[in-house]
Amino acid sequence: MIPLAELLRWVAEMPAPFRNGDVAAIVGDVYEGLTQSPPTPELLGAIEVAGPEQLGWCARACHVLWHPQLRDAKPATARLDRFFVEELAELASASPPDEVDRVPERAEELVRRGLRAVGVRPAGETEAQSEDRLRQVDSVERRRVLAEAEGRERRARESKEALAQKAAEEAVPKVGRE
Amino acid sequence: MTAAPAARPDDPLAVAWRAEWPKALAAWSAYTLLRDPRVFSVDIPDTMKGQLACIRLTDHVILLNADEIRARGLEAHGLAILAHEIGHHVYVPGNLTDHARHIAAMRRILSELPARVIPLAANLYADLLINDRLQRRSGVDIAAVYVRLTESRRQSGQPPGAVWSVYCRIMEYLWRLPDHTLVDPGVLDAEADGDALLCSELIRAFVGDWLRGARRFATVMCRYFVADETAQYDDPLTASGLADTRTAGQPLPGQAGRDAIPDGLVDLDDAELGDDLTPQPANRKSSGGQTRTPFEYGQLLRALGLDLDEHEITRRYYRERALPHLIPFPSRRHPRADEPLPEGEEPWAFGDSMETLDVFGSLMRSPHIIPGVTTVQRTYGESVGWDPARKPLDLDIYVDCSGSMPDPRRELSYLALAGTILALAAWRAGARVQATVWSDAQGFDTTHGFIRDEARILGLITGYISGGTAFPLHVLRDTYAARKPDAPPTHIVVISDDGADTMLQADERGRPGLELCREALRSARGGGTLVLNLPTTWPSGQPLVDLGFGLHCVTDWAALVGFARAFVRQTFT
Repeated sequence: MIPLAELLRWVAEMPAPFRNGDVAAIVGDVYEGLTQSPPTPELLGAIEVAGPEQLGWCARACHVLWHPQLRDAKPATARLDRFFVEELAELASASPPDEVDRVPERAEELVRRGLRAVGVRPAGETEAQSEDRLRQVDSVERRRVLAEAEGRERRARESKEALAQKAAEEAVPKVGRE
Repeated sequence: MTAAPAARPDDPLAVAWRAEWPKALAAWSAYTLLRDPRVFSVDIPDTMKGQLACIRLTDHVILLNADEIRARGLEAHGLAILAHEIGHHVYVPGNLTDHARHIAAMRRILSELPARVIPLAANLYADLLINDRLQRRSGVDIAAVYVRLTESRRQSGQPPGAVWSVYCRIMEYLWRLPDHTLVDPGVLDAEADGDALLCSELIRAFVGDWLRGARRFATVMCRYFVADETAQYDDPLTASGLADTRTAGQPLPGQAGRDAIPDGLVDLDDAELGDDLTPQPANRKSSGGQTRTPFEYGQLLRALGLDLDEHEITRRYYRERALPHLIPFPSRRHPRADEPLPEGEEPWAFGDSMETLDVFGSLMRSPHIIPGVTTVQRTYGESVGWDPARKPLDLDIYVDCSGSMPDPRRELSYLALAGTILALAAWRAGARVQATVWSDAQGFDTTHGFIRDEARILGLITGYISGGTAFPLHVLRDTYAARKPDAPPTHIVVISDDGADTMLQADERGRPGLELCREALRSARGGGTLVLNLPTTWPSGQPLVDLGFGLHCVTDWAALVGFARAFVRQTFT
């Protein structure tokens, strides 16, 4: 297990090729290095049609997974496929990839997602702690929760209007009596 | 502050719970430091009746009601309850300012509901955050407390309200409790169940940034607060004895409300507004510099339970807004400093200041201290120093608050803000200030002289009269007619718009205003400035400019703050 601080430092020192290189090639190399097998056609197809935001996230994720202490992780290929194809696409819809350089929580989120994809936890954390912390920095989940909560605003407004209406109706006979 | 009543020394609950205190602190951190809790079993304060505990953020204290704890059968849950109360001090809300911001965030959604709902909502949200942290990460069995409370409620046959039912369902989701552990069967429909699940996800998503999730929590829970109001259910937290933050922001016993006002509430924290889902540019700054209006500020302080009059609220608002703009106040170099030189002694009698009594000198005269007979005080002369001294100019400020001006109590008044900046800067520099707010000859208020009482000065500058427009020439006249030749030089500042041309009218004795202004400037010996909301020229005021008044025109009131800064640079460098 690797200390989280070490991985965050690794991310902060990301070299230029991971920011603007040939993403498909980088993904292929990292995937093969970790799984000892070439990337699946599904993965390659998804990378081919991915937009620039998702490609940016893929490149940065490759850098995380290429940490020397993760090269022997041997993750399940299905899990890794899901990470590159689904998770990073969701991340791309929630935040631009350069937030990894500017927002500490995004860097931590990327690291934790990458670790989860290869079945590793940060040093010193239990599974529950690791899961909790990922949920705290999970921008996709946060966005979903906020959107759902925002959908309740109309209902809140309607209930307050109904309460005000009821109070107004109850006040009318009182005024009449007076 | 009066001594608080306490538990009987041999109260077994107090003894047992004090033994749990170190573990409760450790549930948060090995470095948590707080005062020991106070356990009451006699003379329970009114604010605590019916409640298990309460916190006070002003002095970081935890108060426990032993009788209520026993009545609800919670004696065995000392660790959980103590750790929970600690959580209010170290996590949510943590301090008075965040407590106020929390209330403000809830108010954004719940302001149309009765005022008591807002602190209730804040308390519920805080409790969920704290309890989840303790239950899941610290291994403290908070759930057992709620199981016990649920048992009591079910035994009493008391039906739960909508808020309490959803609140309990949130806890069932958070801690994966079996269904109906806390919630009665059939009470919640699918929609309410979904809302409880959503709230549990909110709690988890915002555990590290709780203020940002407060507004969303209030949004989801709003309809349940409305349902309880409609059905006239009692406040569920108070009914359960769990309203522990109800008085969190109130002043200490014997302390004035104005001494318990937390700082930093004029500015809006963008966390109060919650997360915005629209994408933001990368260089977006937080907060956006938004501030509350004086009215909103007052509402917030009252929502904290602070009993303040409008005057105090307004004064405090402008003081806080002025502080970031404070500039060095102009001073003049005196040729030399005067240093006191002891010259001798003279009798000290009743009526003389106690500080001047020379006790040692009196004892040297006689071992018997007889006031007025053997008591003496030192006398001092002046010794010429070599270093030049700087003395600030006194400030004589006139702020227009006629009908065309904004009411500082309701909306931001840049006139009041600029006046506050100048007055505070002068006061801090050691100058004296005479402040006058004016509307017309009968409508004015003044400090009637140069004073150093900050509260009175600012209270006056932030006042409001409204009415016609006529500069109080008699105040200007009388101030300088009685001024002694050796009085410190004074700078006269008038903040107004074109209504300042009433300075040229005659006073009540028929003397021309221009003549009075000339005499005032001469007697003040520190110059004068007219700060007017006008285009760049002011033809009708040219006679005043010719007298020697500096003219500073601002095209909008916000530029007054810029004037306050420019004031020093342009006049005294």
